[in-house]
Amino acid sequence: MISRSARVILALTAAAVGPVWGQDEDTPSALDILEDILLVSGTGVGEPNDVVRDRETIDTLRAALGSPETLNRVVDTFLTTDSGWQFLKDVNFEFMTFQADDIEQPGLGFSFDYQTQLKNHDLACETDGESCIRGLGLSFDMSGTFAFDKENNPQDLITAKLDFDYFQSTGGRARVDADRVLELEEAFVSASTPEEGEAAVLAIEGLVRPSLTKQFYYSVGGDVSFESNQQFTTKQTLYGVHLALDFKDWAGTSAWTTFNFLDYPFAALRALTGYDCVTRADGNRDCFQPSGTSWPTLLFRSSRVKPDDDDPRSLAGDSSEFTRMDFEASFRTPVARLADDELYITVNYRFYAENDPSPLVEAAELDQFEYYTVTIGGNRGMYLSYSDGKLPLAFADDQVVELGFRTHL
Amino acid sequence: MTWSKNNLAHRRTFLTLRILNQTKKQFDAAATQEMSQLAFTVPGDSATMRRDKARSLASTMHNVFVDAFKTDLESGVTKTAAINSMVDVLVVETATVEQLADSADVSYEFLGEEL
Repeated sequence: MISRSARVILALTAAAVGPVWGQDEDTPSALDILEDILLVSGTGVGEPNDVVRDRETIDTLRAALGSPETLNRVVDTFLTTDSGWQFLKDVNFEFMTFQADDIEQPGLGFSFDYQTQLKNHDLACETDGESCIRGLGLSFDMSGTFAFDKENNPQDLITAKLDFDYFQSTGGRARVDADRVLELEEAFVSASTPEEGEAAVLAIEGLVRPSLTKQFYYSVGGDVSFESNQQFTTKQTLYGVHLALDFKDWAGTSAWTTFNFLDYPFAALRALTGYDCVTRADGNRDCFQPSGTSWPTLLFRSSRVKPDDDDPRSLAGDSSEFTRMDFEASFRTPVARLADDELYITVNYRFYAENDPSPLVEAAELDQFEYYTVTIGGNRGMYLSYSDGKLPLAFADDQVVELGFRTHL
Repeated sequence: MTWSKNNLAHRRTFLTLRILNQTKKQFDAAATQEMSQLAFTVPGDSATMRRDKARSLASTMHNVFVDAFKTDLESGVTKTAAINSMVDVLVVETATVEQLADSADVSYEFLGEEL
């Protein structure tokens, strides 16, 4: 006989996958089945008050079981190394809810993202007498988002890409007395209390971080990719070249940090919350500290796009191939410290523009797409995420608000 | 491998992440911290963006291992291979700091490891 907890897990799993299998309105939902299980096996059969209590329990369960947090916990129970489902961890499989602006009920779905390096090759590198890191790479990635109700997927874009690139990282070297670092490391190892250990870690940070040189990273490459909506009814193939740029002033002491104007509003917030005040030589406290590591990472791509007959452009009357310029920026900076956690703001912004679009495409407003996600939160506890805009292959703008709670750690 | 200060790869990966401001956790709590919680992660990043950011971070991690902790690569392992091995963990949002450290352990011969 199947235990009650096992039946709950089975019903819950069915609740998660049922809609994919095309459940119709007349078929009892998995949650209805769960309700029957609980009413029959519950303690309150024949006792009105207990039935009411069970009904309240069921309503509570309905809300809890439909949440992505619960589903992700159930999935986690399957992701042990010997379960055969470990690959779900490698593909970053995650249940999620969508609350699009034109849909009343939040929708359930999942996202996935798989990346792997197929080949890499080391190249000798030296710039200004200092060694750097240079190499070639061949990688494959596939990512996307599925909503069980297809009308409720604001991020309706699935991509698969084969990517060949050349990369170089210059700087980011630690100009430090390594013997002194190893002495402090010994103090960390031999610390008898967490406080002593933390003091040693702070001493190592204080010694090594200011010695780090500025780092400049770039990669250039070519890729072949395939884009589709979640039903694969609209598709397109892309051949492109891309350039990625990343800069970090790890020590945070150069003019690059002083003039990181993009971080000024957040530095002001940090000053208000007393995040990283320092006492200067003259005794005054300086709380306005722009971050040298909060420069945005930038990605540029130019692609030749070969659309499928059913893509939005074709439906607007233009099925010709076209060139598309893509831009993406990624930014993260802390704004406050709460107990032992850090509150941060992140922004991911994407812009897509067709070169020399036809009047038909312009009239249908399919020549430019913009999409961004802003998140504020900590590594633990509540976070708030807001997305707005439209991705290529999407037919309408969608605003998505996601309020979540991280339960890890 | 059990998370331990006595494991050179574990403690130096942890210390390097602290030096590079990727985590604020103390050693014991850092073991299960996921890549999605490190400072380089931004929700909504495309796969290409995340891989480039991970490779940039792994390049500096390599430099800190070498410069601050006198670490050598294992025989037959190239710089790019070691970095990409860490990148393969960094891009998995649910991978943990312990898994990252174990990945580094395969590529690097940490000073004192032979003792």
